[in-house]
Amino acid sequence: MSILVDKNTKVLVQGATGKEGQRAIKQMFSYGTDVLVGVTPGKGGQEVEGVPVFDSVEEALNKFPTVNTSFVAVPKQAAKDAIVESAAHKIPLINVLTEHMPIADTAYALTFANDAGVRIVGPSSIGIISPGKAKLGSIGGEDPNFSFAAGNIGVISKSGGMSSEISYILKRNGFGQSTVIGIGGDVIVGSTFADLLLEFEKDKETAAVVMFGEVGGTYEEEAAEIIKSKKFTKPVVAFISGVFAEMMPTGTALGHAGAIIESGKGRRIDKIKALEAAGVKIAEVPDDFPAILRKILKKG
Amino acid sequence: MRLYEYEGKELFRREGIPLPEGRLISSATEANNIGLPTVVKAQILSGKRGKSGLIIPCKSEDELKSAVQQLLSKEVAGQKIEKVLVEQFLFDKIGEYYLAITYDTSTRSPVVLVSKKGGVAVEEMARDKNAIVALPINPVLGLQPWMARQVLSTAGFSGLHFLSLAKILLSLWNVFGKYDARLVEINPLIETEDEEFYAADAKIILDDDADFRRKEIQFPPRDVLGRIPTKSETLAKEIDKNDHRGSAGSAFIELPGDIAVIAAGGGGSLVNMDALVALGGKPANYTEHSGNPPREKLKRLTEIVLSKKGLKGCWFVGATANFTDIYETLSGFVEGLRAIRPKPTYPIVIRRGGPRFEEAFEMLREVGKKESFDFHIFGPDTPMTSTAKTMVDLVNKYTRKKR
Repeated sequence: MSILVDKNTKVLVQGATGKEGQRAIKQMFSYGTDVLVGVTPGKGGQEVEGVPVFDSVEEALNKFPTVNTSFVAVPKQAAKDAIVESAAHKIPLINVLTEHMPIADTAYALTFANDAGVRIVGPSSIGIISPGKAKLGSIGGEDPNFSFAAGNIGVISKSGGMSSEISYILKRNGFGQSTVIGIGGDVIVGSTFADLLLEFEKDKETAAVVMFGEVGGTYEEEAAEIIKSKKFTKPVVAFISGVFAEMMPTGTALGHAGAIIESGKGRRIDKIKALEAAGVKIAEVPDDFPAILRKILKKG
Repeated sequence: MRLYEYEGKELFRREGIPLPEGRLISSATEANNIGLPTVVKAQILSGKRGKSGLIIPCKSEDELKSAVQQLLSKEVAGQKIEKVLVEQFLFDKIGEYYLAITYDTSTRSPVVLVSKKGGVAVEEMARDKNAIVALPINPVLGLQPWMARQVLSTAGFSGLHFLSLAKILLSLWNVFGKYDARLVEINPLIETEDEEFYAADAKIILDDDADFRRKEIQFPPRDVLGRIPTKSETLAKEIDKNDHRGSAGSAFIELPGDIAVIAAGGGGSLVNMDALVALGGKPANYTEHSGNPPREKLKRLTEIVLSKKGLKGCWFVGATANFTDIYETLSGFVEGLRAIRPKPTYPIVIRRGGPRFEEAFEMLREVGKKESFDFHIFGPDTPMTSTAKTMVDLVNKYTRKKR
């Protein structure tokens, strides 16, 4: 098993004719993911890598009713509209690659999707991969087999780059992954650590979860709550960056939009304390993950 | 982008939020014909101006002149005070309140914050859990008049004046939405004896990601401190202007150290900076690139980063990239490096992985040998953060040798 994406994933790509969309389609194909259809308003009738492109999600779904996932690779100006269009058609999973979405648009789209009972991963998500089964987006680039291998560790990361780096560290040390998710580093995101831990809890294949967190926001603290209240019962190892970021003046945005320290909330130390109190093991550097996992899983 | 008080108040004025009468001046000679008593407020981007003596009440013309002079000659945390706001002194106040709207990461929506106990720092207010009432707002609906009344009534306001407050709160919502703010805050909102309200302060943070929608109003560039960006910072920000292929230099902070940093990826960059500073390494800058920028962008970024005098090392570091072409980005780095005069003799540590990294490393080895650069090259099998130690050790060695 795995979560969110697998062999049954059938993808619609919004922004299929753009540079990001084309790249993602190519890469998803070469990984064996079922990309059925694309949408770019005004480019209906074109094809990308043999995938037919339509002007609207409705048309696309009429022709390809088995679509169960939308991958959004549109410019930030159009992202809110694209997400809401897919959500209005109740496509159950929407993965948003678009970076630098205005926060007002993100909040609107997430609320709309939530009311429609649709899951969003992103914005600013590098993608989702269940190694050996399927992937969404550019995660792992053209050669996902370099960094990823099938296995029993779930990975949730605010950083796209670090999702591959961490997976490679795990793979090199004999740990494969069940599913790896780039949740994005924005101030507000569709699926948080806590949301995905609940999914990993149900997944029999996942034995432990690795989290990459950052300063800012409260998503790491919320994950600690889920673990503390036993809604998630498997071992978790986390790394939280932010030593340098916290040396900068309050309000400095570094790396990801979400990595901002606001009036003493969301500091690295707050997150580490909350996670440790919930029994989560903290890695000093990402390269410590394998040794900690080895210890925990042997004991378990 | 954080706005100065006077800029924030301009947005308030446009949406009909009542303000004390005031005038913005930048020299003492302009301090004429101002109604007394008055209050002079330094325009800097930092909180706690009252406690730092940057807000001065004045009863006479002489006091006013000297207050303006005093503030305009001051420098606070590296920012020179260039403007002061001279405002009507509200001496008959009967209440100080707090109104704010921002985004809440946990509810993933806007949230309205209201308190009857304004006029103190938010941190102080937050200590009393019941002092602030928070109402999450469904962004699809927006703040409706009944919601504004409800949150104010929960916060303990009643009577006729609470209807005027509701109006102000709705105007504040308009500022928040219309200008794509991440935070709008009035602290304090002053009520006077005649039941009039005045926004005595304005704190606004705009969402930089929504710049494209804010065509009709532009504010001059600044960093979070209100410091005017350094030359390198300005040049680095130019790189991504009008070129949306990947990003390089959009985040750039000049720092006092001697290790030049060209980091990759929003997340990985910070992991590596953490490792460097933990070892006592002194970064000369922070910058990052991501999303497969073309080689020209890396060339330019490298030129800017390495133009700094007194460097003792350069660290090009990143995780295993998903789709950034490592050959292209490192080629850009080499092109930038070649343009630096005098030619860098300091150690250059490179750690990277991702598409075409092997080709890139072969190229680097050849360039290093032929053009005698002191390259130390590491691939994805070397823990990323361990190269921070390599860098710091090499810098120490280089410094000893130079002495």
